[in-house]
Amino acid sequence: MTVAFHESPVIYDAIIIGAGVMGATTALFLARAGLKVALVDRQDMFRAASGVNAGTLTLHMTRAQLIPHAIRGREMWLNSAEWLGEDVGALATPGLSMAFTEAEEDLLRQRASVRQNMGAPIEIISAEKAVSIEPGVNPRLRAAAYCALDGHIPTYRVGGAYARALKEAGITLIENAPVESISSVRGQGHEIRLTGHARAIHGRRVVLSTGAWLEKMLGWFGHDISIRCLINQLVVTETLPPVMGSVLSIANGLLSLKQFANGSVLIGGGWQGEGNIRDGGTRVIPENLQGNVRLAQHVVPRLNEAQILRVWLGLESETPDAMPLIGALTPDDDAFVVGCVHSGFTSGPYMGRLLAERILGADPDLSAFNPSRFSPSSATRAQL
Amino acid sequence: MSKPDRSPVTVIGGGVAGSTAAIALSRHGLPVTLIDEQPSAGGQIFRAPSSYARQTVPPNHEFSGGDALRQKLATSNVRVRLSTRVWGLSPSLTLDLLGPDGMDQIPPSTVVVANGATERFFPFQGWTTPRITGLAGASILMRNGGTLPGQSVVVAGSGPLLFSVAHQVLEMGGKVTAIIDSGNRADWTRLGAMLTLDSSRLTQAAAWMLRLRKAGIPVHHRSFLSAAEETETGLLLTVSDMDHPERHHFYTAEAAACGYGLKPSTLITRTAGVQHRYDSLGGYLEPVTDVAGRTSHPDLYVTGDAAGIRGMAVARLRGLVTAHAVAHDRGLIPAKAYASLTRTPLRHLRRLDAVSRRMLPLMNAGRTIGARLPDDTIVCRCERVKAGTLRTAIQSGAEDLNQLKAWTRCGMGPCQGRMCEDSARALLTTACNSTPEEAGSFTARIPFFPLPLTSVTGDFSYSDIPLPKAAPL
Amino acid sequence: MSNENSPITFVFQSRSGTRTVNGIEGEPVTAALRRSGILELGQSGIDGTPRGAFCFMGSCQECRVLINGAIDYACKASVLPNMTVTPYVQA
Repeated sequence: MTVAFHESPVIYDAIIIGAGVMGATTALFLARAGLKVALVDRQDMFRAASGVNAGTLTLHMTRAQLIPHAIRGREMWLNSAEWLGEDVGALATPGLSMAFTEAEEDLLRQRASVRQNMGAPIEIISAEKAVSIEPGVNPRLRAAAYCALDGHIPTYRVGGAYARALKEAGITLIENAPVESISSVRGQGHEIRLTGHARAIHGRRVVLSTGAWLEKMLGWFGHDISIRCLINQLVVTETLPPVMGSVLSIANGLLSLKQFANGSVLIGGGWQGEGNIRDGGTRVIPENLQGNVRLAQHVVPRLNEAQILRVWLGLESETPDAMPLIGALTPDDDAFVVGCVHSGFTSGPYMGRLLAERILGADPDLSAFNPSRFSPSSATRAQL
Repeated sequence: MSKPDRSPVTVIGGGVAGSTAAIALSRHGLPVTLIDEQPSAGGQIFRAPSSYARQTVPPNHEFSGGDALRQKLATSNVRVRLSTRVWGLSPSLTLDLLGPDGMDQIPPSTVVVANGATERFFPFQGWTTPRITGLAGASILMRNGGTLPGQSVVVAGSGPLLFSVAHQVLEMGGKVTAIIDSGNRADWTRLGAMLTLDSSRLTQAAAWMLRLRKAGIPVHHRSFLSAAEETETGLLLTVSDMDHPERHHFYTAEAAACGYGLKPSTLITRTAGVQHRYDSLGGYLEPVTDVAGRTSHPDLYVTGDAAGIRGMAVARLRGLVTAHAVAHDRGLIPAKAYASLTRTPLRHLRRLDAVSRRMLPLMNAGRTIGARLPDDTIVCRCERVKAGTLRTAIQSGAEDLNQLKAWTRCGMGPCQGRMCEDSARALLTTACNSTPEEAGSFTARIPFFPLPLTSVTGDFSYSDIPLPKAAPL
Repeated sequence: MSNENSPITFVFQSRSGTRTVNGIEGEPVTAALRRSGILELGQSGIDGTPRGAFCFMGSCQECRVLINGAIDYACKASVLPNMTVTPYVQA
């Protein structure tokens, strides 16, 4: 999509860089509050993590401290018609996390108890109970953690729904425009230069929501934060007769397994592929494909009837403490970040909305996500 | 000349180009493995006939040519791995295979991709009924399977295959109800003027057309199959005029075969990351190669129709030249020997190439059909995605093929977009008034075809699984 | 293969019943089925409509059937005596 520039350059109230779930949600709530908003992406919108992730809504796998946010994010997905304008097909299901060894059972109890304390309705159930809830699971399990508040979304429906909502909200969408530089211009906020665009765009505020590509841009604002890029493997099968009804995982969090309404089964869990964000190329590691799929087949033995349809890799960003970055980057309160949220698809819309509220003058508690926690010298200024 | 490199070469595809290249490479003293997905080598044109087909189909050039090729392979030093498919590869060219004995890998080697062509399709109402096959598919069913698609067949689409398939139906005692060609009659006449350049092929084409005309078979030029409806005994087919879409003809037949020319198979080359370009004459994506099949990847060569559709005679010459080029690049033969070995093949190659390029627009004559599809026509057969769904997504801002796929599932199914990419592209470029380059092409993903999950998992116990360390609390 | 050319029979088991099909050992399964008038090899997993062999080149994936319980391409797999072919619901 291209933008027509007129005689006098437009100054946006906010320019959001990175059109995934978080950036697009921030953009949407800012625009609905009356701000003039542009949303920029290095490629087409929703094509990175937000477009290729497993679509899991999970409290088992999210970080314990983020449970309250994940619960709110999940609710937003289930009610997407209300705030996004259309139903994206989110389905509420229970979630079962399983243990097959003694060590896994210990881990399961430990992880469940921490999550219970953070408000997740998770309880430990016996193997028999687990099999009665989910007859397709391997009866050799020792115990399971049951959570009533899980679910999943057919991820492919999300991008188009956001595209229509953004258009409706009057947001200027600039795709296939990698950001080359961001600089301050007195009285005009930030000047942002985009590859392939002769003229820079200007915004009073800028929001970075570029996921795996955050590190370099944070550096432009003096935040030296090392962002690790996870290259998560996903596997989808052809349609099968129903073999499961809930979201399944294992105690250590390294499996997510669900069956969509069309019958296809999606196998994820964060097994790693190879690649780097500069070259853009990613590659499946055969041993990890085998390991991930073996784990899935162990958990649901009937997957031995499945055909593997496609394997792909999605990028996820992680800070050194594996906690999100949400908040202001400058003392002037004119640059912000939202990202690096573990299980970011579950909480994503809520995190994006929180940042929009913060920008609009509300005071949500974002202290645990303050980007200045990694840079002692600037820690005090950004909190002002 | 540097030290000769005698490390292994892998040829993917045992058709005319691949088999010729493999034999020539092994004559240069290189250890060669030839992989082919069929139970015998020969590719599509020289597909080995079943014993039933040998009884029912009159002897022909394809049978004898294929037998000779298989005989040559059998007496060569080429290691032939049949019923084996490549389902993935790495940038360093490790090949992932699935064969009769399950999963296997070939470590990085020089790879010659000779996996030929895929047929191009444009949809119409009812094209998913089992009475409809591809045009090349009908030919394979007859030549390899000795079986007619139906006792009466409507043959539709574009390119020389139309007349070849119609001729095959007659030869087997079937009835050709009608021939529906999206090209102009004048294009065929112009091609005839090039007879001196490729006399064997064009003479054969002329003979087919003459026989079909004598048989009184109706031929509609500038027309296309627009609908197929199941009846008690077969199909009711609607033929529409390309220039006056409101003008129709109707035919009934037991079956219909429809295809709109060939395009190079590019899943392997796209996954390898070599440079591709859109050939507007052919209307397809092809890897960028030099005359010998070298690509932007130093160890990957592409030969035969996989490098651009030129037909069998060119495929054989390309296979030969590619093999000599590999030998030269490996330091096995000096530049002078390469020049003398390739002088004659390259001369023929240039002459035939000129004719073949003239045929591309004929094969590509259906390109406007995809753009005009009615909203309720299924475009993506696998996911049953209709033209109207694609148009809605385009209106929402999906302006390239991958975004269109991401939002609609078009091309996400088992065929990985092989059947729908051309019509999705035609629809997209028309709606956005954009170029095929702007529309792009579907990102290639592994596996290239669905893999039985158990072929990946094999026999294992829980303790065999290398569980990574737990995710952060 | 010594048994080529031998007429044999195999079984096609679908929702419309079980049929014995004549074929020649070694020929493609689609060819034998088609001569017996069997074109429907399964159903679309999306809308349940019939599906049959289309491209005959291993591209379209639509001719996949279960042969003695294992997935195979009917356009390519060989007819063998006493085998059982069943439809595969795909997508």
